[in-house]
Amino acid sequence: MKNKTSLALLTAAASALVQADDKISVQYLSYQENDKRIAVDDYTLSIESNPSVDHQIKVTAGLDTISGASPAWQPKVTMTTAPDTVKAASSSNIYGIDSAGYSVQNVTVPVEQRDSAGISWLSRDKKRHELTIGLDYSEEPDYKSNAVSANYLWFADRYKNRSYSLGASLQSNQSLVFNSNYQTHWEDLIATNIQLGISQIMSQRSSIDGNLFIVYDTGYLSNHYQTILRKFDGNNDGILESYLSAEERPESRQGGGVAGNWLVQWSNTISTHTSIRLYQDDWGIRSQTFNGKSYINLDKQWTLHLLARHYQQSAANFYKAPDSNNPEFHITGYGSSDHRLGNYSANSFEAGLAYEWKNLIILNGQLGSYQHSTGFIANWLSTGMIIKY
Amino acid sequence: MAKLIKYTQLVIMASGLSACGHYQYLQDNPENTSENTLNRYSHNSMAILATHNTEAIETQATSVANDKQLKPNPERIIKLNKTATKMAYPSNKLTSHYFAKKLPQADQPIWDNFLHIFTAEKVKPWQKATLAKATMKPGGLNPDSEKFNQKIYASKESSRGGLGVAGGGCGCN
Repeated sequence: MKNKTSLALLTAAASALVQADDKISVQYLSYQENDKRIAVDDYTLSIESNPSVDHQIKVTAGLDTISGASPAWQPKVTMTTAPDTVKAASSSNIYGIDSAGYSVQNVTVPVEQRDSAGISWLSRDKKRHELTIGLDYSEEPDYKSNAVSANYLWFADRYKNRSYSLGASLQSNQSLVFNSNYQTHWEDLIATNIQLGISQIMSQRSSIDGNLFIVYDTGYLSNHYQTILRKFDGNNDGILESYLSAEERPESRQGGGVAGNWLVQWSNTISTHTSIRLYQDDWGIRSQTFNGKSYINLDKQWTLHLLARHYQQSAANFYKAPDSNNPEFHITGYGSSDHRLGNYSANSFEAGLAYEWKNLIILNGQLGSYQHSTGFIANWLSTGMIIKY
Repeated sequence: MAKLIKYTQLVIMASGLSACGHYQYLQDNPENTSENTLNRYSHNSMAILATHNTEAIETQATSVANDKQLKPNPERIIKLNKTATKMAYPSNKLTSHYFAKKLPQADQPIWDNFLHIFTAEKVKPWQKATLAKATMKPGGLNPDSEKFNQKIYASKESSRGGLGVAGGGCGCN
């Protein structure tokens, strides 16, 4: 009887031990692209609460402001309206024609503020299997997004060394796009994501996880700020003229791939995360991502983290680089000169320091850099604080 | 009287260690509630104590002392904590051989980890102290900062997926 009483009493005490810390995290990012392009200030606040060992609730709120300019084809001098025959022949919006030609210029984008909020709820059953449900919302002047996600993780063995997971998300987004006369209207796009994962503990100091994923997007998938050049003989004089047009992407995209992650604690002070992702879609884009991250405990308070990432992708089959010999598209059909759909590689590096005070407060700061093989460079500084309570 | 309190605290702490182990065991085997398992799995509690910080142990000891209407004695708690640590990582020659196999060893050759790509050990719940560290979680020490990076990559690259299903959309891409 005495043992039973002690057991009941102390099981409750033990539950306090295995329960995760409640946290408040405040983070700030200052991001700047080269050539005075896009600049972003991003603030996030997240609160994680564990009311019991079976439940975890995380609420996040974000606010970011975007300013600067984005490169796109623009008329060199003055653009005049295109003939109706050209507009009728084209499958996308024709903005006009400039007989002096066109060049890629940085087009100033309006200063935008994006507000976002999200909530996720994780619950565990008697066997510690986990169900996570999430809701996310964001709004900016020209884009709205609502998302719902669910993920179920179940353990495959009594020691919980292997787990499987199945997750899915659905985003219902709206984008404000231009008509041919620069008036705007809202277009819908739906983005879905399904992921099947496996996680395996390999030893007391290492684990691996991997997943298969499928993505499917449908609706308006173009970027209304991006322009292309279309060739057409609008005057019937036997000479093709170049017209400035909105880019046009397919209205659906199916993709998928595999991803893997290997985590190792090499010694008491050094751990590494090594990951790879292979992706392919029906736009013709194939990509490989290699990511290496390490954490080095300098002492009990200070932790250094280093990150190196390499990304490589092939071009979409409807992409033409603006600086290519023949950057113009046919008057109909898909076309984009957005360099993000092109063939390039990217390298990213980040170094950061975290200082932990009495297992209560963590202060962190990171410096990062991101470089495309196209010459694009971005740098960022992020800093923040996590308070455990 | 002081001796009695000390003795009582030690008994309570020992029971606590046992219960911690049994709690973890019940999580793994909810169908088995036999008290006989307490002895078999009492070493679970050592690993649990090893994985948690001093404050947590002090909280538990203080909580238990309050429940028994005993005044917590900080010096005594520190002593108990030291005792628990010794129990978790015994230096006794008779037991050190056993624990050497069960607990992570810093001097283990790092290249052993490569072997684990192909073979998986049966790691017991009380051997997961290292795996429970924040730096050994996929999101790392600071998952929110990691999200900044993913947002940057998503806005500049044309691939998506493979990073979980949670999260909202963004007009940045």
